[in-house]
Amino acid sequence: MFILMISVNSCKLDNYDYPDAQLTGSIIDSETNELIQSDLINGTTIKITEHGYDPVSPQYLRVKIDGTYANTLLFPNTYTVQPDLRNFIQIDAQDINIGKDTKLDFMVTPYIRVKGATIVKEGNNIIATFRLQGTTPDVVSKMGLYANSEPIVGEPVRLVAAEKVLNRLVTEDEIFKVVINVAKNTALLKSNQSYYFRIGVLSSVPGAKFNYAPAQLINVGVVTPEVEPEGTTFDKCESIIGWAGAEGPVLDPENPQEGNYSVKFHAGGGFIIQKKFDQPVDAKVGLEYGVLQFNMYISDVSVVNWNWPGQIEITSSGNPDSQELHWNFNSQLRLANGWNKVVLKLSEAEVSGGNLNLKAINFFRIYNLDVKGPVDIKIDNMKFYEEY
Amino acid sequence: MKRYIFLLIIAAFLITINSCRNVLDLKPLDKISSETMLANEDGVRVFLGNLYYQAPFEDFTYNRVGFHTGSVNTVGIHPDAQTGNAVNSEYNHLVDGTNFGWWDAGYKFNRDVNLLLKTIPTISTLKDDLKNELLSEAHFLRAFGYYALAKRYGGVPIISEYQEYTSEVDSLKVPRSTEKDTWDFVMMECDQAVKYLPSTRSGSNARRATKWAAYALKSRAALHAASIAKYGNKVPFSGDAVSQGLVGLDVSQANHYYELCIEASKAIMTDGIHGLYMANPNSVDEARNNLLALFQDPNVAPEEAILVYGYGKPGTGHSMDFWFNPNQTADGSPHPGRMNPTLDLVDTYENYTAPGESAPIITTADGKIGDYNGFDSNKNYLHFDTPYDIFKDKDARLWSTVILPGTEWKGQTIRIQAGYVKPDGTAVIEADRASIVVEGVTYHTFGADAWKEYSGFDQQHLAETTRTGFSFKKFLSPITVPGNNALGFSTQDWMEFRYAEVLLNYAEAVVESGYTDNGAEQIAIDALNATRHRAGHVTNIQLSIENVQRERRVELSFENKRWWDLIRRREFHEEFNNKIQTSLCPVLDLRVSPPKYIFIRKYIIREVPLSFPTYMYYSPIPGIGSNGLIQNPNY
Repeated sequence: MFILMISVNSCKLDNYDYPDAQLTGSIIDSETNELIQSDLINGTTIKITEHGYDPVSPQYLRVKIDGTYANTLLFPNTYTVQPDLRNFIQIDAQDINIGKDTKLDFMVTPYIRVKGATIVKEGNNIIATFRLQGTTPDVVSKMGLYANSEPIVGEPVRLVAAEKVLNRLVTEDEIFKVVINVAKNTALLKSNQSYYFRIGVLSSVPGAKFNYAPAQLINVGVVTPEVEPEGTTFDKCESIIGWAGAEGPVLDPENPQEGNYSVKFHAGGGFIIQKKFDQPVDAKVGLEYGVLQFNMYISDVSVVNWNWPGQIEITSSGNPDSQELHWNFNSQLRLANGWNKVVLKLSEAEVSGGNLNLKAINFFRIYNLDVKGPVDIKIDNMKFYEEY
Repeated sequence: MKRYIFLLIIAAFLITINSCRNVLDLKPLDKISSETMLANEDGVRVFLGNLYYQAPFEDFTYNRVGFHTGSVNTVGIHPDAQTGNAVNSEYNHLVDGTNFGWWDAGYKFNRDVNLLLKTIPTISTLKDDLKNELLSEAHFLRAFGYYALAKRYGGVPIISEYQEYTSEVDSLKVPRSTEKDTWDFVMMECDQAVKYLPSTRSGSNARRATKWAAYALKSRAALHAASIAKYGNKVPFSGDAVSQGLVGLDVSQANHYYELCIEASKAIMTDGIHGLYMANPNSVDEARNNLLALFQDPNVAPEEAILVYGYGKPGTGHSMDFWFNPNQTADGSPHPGRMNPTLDLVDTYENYTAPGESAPIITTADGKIGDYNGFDSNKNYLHFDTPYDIFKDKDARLWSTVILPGTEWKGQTIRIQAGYVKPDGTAVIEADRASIVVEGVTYHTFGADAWKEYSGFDQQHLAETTRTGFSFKKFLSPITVPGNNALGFSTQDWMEFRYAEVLLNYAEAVVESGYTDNGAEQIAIDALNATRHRAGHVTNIQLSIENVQRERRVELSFENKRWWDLIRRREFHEEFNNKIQTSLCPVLDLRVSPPKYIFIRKYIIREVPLSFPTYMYYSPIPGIGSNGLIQNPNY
C-alpha cells in the first residue's frame, strides 16, 4: 500500500507532455532557389537552444544530404535557432516558437556553387565536368569526384575519390574536369554495378564544409582491361631527320617496336641524344593528365650511373632549358636491358625556363654523362596521350 | 499477524538507529591509515611502489581497453594497430570514443601523489637529503600524470594540494586551467623532479625514476606541446573550450616548447650515462640481432633504458606472446596471430641502397606501386627464389620487428603464402585451402597442408593467420613462454623512456624550430643518424621533417608512440581519410618451372575505409554533469 502510494506520487515528477512539436525545413540558395546539398557526416548542422532553462544544452540537428532537415520530437517552446556547421555564409540567429508542424527554411548563400555539372561514363572513365562560382573572396581549397554504393556519398563517405587540390580563386567560365578511372579501382568498383557519383568542392573559409552537386547513379558497366590510349604519335622513328647525338643516329631494322625502324645510337660513355622538330607538335593533352611515352632500348643498364642527375626534356623553344618540362633519371626511370616502355606523366615533370607550350613542342632530349662503358640506345614510337 | 510485522519494523528501525552511532569512527581492520603507512622510509617505498603501478605507463598492458589489461581479453588489438602500423587479423578498428581515456584513474593517482608530497616533510625519521629526493620523485610522478592528462584533454584542473574532504562539495571543484598553463605545470614539475633525483639507481631501486627519466619526460612533453602549438591550427576548433584557452596553444608558443625539448634532451645526451645500445654494429646481421636482443630484454641495455617498467610474476604479467606470435609458434595460445603489420609500414623502412627515402616494395617490372586491386595476369611480376629475397636490402629494423614470409622464428620457418597461380594462369589467391600437383610435386595454397603449419591468409582460420603478409616479433620471447595458453604469462620488461627516443625528440625539435644555437643543427643530424647507424646504415641522411618522422616511425614502431605522434602533429585525419590499408601477398607462381614467388600489393582482405574524426584530437571529459567542467569541442 505504502509502496504503491509512493510510486504513484513519484510519477508526478515526470508528467510533462509528450514532445509533440516538429521543426522541418530546407537550406535554400537564395539566388537560385535550389536546395544546398550537404553531408551526413561533417555536414551542415543547425543549433537550437530551448528558452526557459539555465544552463541549457543546445541541440544540434543534422541536415540531410539533399539540404532538408526535420526533428519531429521536440517540446513545444520558444527556441533560438541558427545554423552551426555549414557550407554557406552564416545568417543571424532567430527566436521562433516551435509548435505543431513548424516550418523554417533558411535562405542563404553557399560558399561555392557547382554549375553546369555533368557526370558521364566514357569507356572505363567516369568523367565529371563542371564550373564553379565562388561567393566569397576565399580561394577554393580542393574539388573531387566521390563514388559510393550508397546515396549518402560525399567526401567523408566514399569508396573511391578523385581529388584535385586547387588553393586558388576560380572564375565562372573555367571548366573543371575530374575523372575516376574504374579500371584502376576494380577492387572497389565492380563490373556492372551501379554507384552514386557526386561532385564536391571545398572553400578555404575556416570551418567550411563541402558544397556539392546532386549525386548521380551510374552503372559502371563491363570494365574492360586497360588498353593503351591511341593518343598522338609524334615521332614513329622511321627517319633520322632532326635526330642527333652520341655516335649515330642510324635507322635500325632489328626488332622495332613500331613500323620498320627505330633510331639507334651508340655511345662509348656518357650520351646526349636529342631531336629538333621542324614542325612543332601539338600534343593534344593537358598538363594534368598528359603522358609522354616512348620505347627505349638500352643494351646494358649496369654501365649507367642512375644517380647522376641525367634528364629527359621536352621544350617548345627549340632549345634545351627554356620553356621546358623535364624528368629526372633517378626518380622516373626504371629500365632493364633490352626494350623498355618509358611512361612519363607531365604532372610529375619539373618546369625550367618558363612554361612549355603543349601545342607547339619542338625539342626532345635525353642525356646522362656518367656512363662507365659502351652502350647502345634505341628510341621508337614517341607519343602523347591522356591517362586518368 | 499484521501487528507482529509492525513490531518487527519498529524493532528493525530501532536497531538501525542505534547502530548508526559510532559507525563513522570505527577503524577498518583490513586497511591502514596514511599516517601509519607513511611513518617511515619503508612505508614510503611501499606507497611509491603503488604509485608507479598507478602511473600512466603506456606499456605492454596498455591498449584501447585501458591500462593494466594484461589479463583482460582485449581481442588482441595493439595500440599500433590503430595507427596504420598494423591491423588486427579480425577487426577493422581505428578509434574509440574515449580515445584511450585516463580521467578518474588520473585524478586518483594525483590525489595519492599529493598525499605523499604533503606527508614527506612531516616524517621525522627521514633525513633532509632523502626528503628532497622523495619530493622530487613525487614531482616526477605528478608531471607524468599531468602529461598524460594534458595530451588527452588539453587544459585540465590543476590540483597541486592534497584536498581535505569537506561536505562543501563546491569548494572542492577546481575549474580547468588553460592548455598552456597545464603544459607549463608539467614543465615546472619536471624541473622540480630534476632538482634532487639521483643520477643513477641500482639494486632494488633500479626501476625508480632518475634525473634522466625526468629530463626524458620533459623532452617528450615539451615536444608534444610544441607540436600542438605549431600544427594545432591545421584543425581549428570552436566553442567555449577554445575561447577560454582550455584547448589549443598559440603558434607563437611553438619555439618556446621546442627549445625546452632541446634543452631537456641535450641534458641526457651529455650526461655521460646514457647512450645507444650497441651503437656501432659491424654488419647488418649483427644490427638485426642487437635490436632483437634489446627489446627481448631491455635489462641488457642499461645505457639505453632510462626508465623500465617490470613485470614480476608469471600470470600477472602481460600478454604479448599470447596474442602476437605467428600461428605456427603459438606456444599453446588459443589466439595467436593478431598482429598483422601493414604494407604501409613495411614500405616505410629505408633500403640500404637508397638512404633517406621510404622504399616501397617493388613487385612488377614497371616499378609502379599504386595499384591495389589484386592479381592482374597482364602484369609483368618480378620473380623471386624465396619469399623473403624481395626484402633483402631493407633496414635491419624491419627484420627485427616483423616476421617476413619464409623467415625463421623460434626454430621454425614461418610460412606466409596467399596462394598460387596455376600453370594455366588461373590465380588461386586468398581463396579456400587447396592443393595442386605439378610435375609430380604437390603445392598447397598456404605453403603447407595442415593449418598449424602455416601462418597466413587462411580464411577458415582468419583470426590466427595474418591477412597482410607479415607477422610480428619485436618484444616477443625467443623461447617458449610457460603458461602461454592463458593471459598474463609474459614477463619481458618495458622501456618507457629510452635513449633513441630522446635523440629523435632532439632532432625533431631542431628541424621544426630552426634552432641553431650551440651547433644544434649538427648535433641533430648526428642524433638522427645515430639510430640509423645502430641499424646498420653507413650513409648519413640530411635533417628534414620527413626524414625525422620516417626514422621515428620505424625506430619506435609498436612502442605505442605513433598514436600520439599522429595526434600532436595533427596528421591523424590526413593519414586516415577513408583509408583502406594494404597488404603484400606472396604467391607461388607455378607458370614458371621451377616455381618462383611473386608478390601482389593489394587492399587487405575484409578491410574497410577508415577515417579519423577530427574532434578526437581531444578526448571527452567524463562527468561534466557533476564536476561542472567545460567540455571539449564537439562532444
